Amino acid sequence: MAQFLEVKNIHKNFGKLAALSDISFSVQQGEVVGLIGPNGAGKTTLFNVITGFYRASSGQIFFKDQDVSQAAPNKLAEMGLVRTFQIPRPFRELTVHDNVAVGTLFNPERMHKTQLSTTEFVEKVLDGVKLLPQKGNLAGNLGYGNLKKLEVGRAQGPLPDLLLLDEPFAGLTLSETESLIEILRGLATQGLTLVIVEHKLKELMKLVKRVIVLHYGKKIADGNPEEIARNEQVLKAYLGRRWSKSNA
Amino acid sequence: METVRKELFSIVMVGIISIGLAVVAPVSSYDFYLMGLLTSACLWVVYVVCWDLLAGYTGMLNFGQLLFAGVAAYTVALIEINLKMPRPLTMLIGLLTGILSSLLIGLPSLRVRSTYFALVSFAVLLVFFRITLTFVETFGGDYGLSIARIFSREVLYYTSIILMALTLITLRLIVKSRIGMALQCIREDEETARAVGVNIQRYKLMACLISAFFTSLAGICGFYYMGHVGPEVFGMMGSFNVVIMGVVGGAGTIFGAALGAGALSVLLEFMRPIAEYRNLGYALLLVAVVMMASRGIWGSLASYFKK
Amino acid sequence: MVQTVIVFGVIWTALYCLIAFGFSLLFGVAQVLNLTHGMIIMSACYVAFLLVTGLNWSLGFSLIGGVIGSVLLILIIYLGFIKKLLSAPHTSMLLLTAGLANAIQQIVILTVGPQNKFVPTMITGGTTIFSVVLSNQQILSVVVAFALVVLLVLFFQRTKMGRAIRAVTQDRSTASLSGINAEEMYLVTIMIAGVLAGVAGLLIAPIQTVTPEIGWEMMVTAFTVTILAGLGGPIWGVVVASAIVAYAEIITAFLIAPMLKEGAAFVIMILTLMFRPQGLFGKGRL
Repeated sequence: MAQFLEVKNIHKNFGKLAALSDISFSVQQGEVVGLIGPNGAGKTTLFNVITGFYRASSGQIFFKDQDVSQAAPNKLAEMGLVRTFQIPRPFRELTVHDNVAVGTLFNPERMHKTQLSTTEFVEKVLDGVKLLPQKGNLAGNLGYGNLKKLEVGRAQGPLPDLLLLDEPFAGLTLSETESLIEILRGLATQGLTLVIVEHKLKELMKLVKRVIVLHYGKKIADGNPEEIARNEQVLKAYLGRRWSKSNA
Repeated sequence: METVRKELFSIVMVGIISIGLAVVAPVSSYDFYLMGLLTSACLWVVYVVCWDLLAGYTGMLNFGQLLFAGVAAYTVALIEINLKMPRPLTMLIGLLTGILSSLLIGLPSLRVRSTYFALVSFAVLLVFFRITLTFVETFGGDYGLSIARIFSREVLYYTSIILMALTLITLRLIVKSRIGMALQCIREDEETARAVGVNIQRYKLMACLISAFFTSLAGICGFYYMGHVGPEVFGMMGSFNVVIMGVVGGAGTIFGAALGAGALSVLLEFMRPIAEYRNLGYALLLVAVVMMASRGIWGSLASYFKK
Repeated sequence: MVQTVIVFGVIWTALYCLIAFGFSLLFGVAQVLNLTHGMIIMSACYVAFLLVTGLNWSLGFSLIGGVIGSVLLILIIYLGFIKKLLSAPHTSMLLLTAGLANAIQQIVILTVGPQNKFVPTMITGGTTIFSVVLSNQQILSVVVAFALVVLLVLFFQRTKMGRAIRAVTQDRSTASLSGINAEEMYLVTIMIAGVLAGVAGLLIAPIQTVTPEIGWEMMVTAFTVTILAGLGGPIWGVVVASAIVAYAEIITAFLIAPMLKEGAAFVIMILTLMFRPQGLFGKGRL
């Protein structure tokens, strides 16, 4: 396989607004990558393009060597690419258990490979995201913190190889965030490739080995956390020219 | 099959009720009247349960459920009157047209929110109503199309019971299966459903076609029973009654919908003399249920017990 | 013949504009799919009919009565019912308004009877325009309708309240933050919708037979025009869409069969939903 995930020259325009300009990068299997940038930089737009919710104005996306630029989200899920949503979107009238089980139902071949029954698998996932005690509750009754965890749990239903998380720590308390970091670290150890959009940089840096930075729709940096923290352009983007000049 | 085993209880219950129904009418002294009532009730159950599949499970609110029945019935009527075809073929064609008519509502609504489905269903019904009234020579205008009685009342009575049982069991098995799960996810959140691998288009279409299949069969059965089909089958009232029965009985629970259909269809018959008041009453009943117990009677009871 | 089509097209464009505006206002502002809208229009027709023939009021007062009746009706529907269900899923709202619409229809049938009614015209006589014979009533209807549409456009684009309402349409919370009382704006919008429905009913009643079915016919029209125009688009988008639907219907009526004119609207609806779901001028949310 050339690259696990390859994003090639992606442009996305909304009318005259260039939300994404010439974005290119690739991700290897097993990497844990962070995607950061000031508000409006285009992170969620990029996510939407990669996961099939938007169509790119030009450019291509390759996943496992296949051109998925035009692929629908459910096709991507079948191939092993799943995303979470920044604002949790659970299936409210289904139980926590069923929320995770759904993904398994539509990817039977992968399910089969695990040699587990649906219930065993779902409980394993729920245990991983610390939601096992809630498994019989309706998702609509959960609190925000648990809903964020359910997002991660539900996304594992289709047994993805690549998981894209959109601001998983948004709105969580410090301890909830720590808890989620542990969970994500666990997933990475199991071999899941992760791409995480986040604003909470300190927490994100604890998790990722590589960071891509977007600004006004363009990629301005790509490297490990230490390099990024010192990168002149990144500092300028986040903090403004004066600060970066005096502290570079 | 895992699902069948789990649902054994429901299946047996359906069987018992059906057999009970089958025996009741011929045994009682009100024969024909009761038979007619029960035949009609069985068909209403089919209509409402099929509606529930679309509306309660998939979230596609359908104000034109009887469209499928009407198209199938008119097709069969036209063939019976104008052509000479073996009866099984006639019914098959009727069934096919009924199923196809569901695409008229289903296809345009595929790419948009399920709420648009509701409005399109209104429009289709209205158009077909107009068509039957416009081309009077073909469709018989206000009088509709009539034929002499072909099947005996008993035969149709038993057929309707069997059809009802089959529909109930099949739909129950479907909603408890993977398909049912997909439909519910579509109802809850289409984007999320896509994100976990559900092909929205495919399942929406599937729901339309299954719903239309049984509804068409019931429509054909109804036609042979009455020996008549008229433009009122495309009228607002009929399909609206389906909605009311489904909501009051319990949308999203096959058996609740069936119960609503059974009870309200019988009531419908009894209240025929005061038709306008009955219609008003039913409309207000719908409003009351929606405002207070959005899960219908069955659903509310069910969630009450779940707690 | 062509002139007839063109002229009648103009008339119905104006009237459809009024109907569609009322419906799309509520849809756009409050996200409410108000299936009772058609029935409110129908009620206005019947109220006017009753006041004129029943109570022998003068035509002028009957008209005002009709409009006031519509506004009251829509307020009752909103405050008594719709408001309670605003947070419920859309299907509940559809069911609620469908139930209410049916209830209204049945009440009307019970009160006035199911036969077709004829509402007397406001002014008599006819005129000929471009060698097409029109009743003065029809001309009056068009003029009033167009005047209202222009007023509406001006209201929404120039006045402070109009802009406030548009703000609430786009983003309720942000609008609140800017000091706009969203609740008040909802009520204003609803009343405007009521007035539009009332006037539409009153203008249509004298030039068309009033039957209990027209409630649903209006609904289909309103809906078709609204989706053809698209949500979130410019106000004149509704005007263009009304024109398209009106002319399609008239041409169908002339060339195929008068009863099938809803067929034209239906075909437009299907084509729009299948090939351009966001409508001609719509932006974003479906």
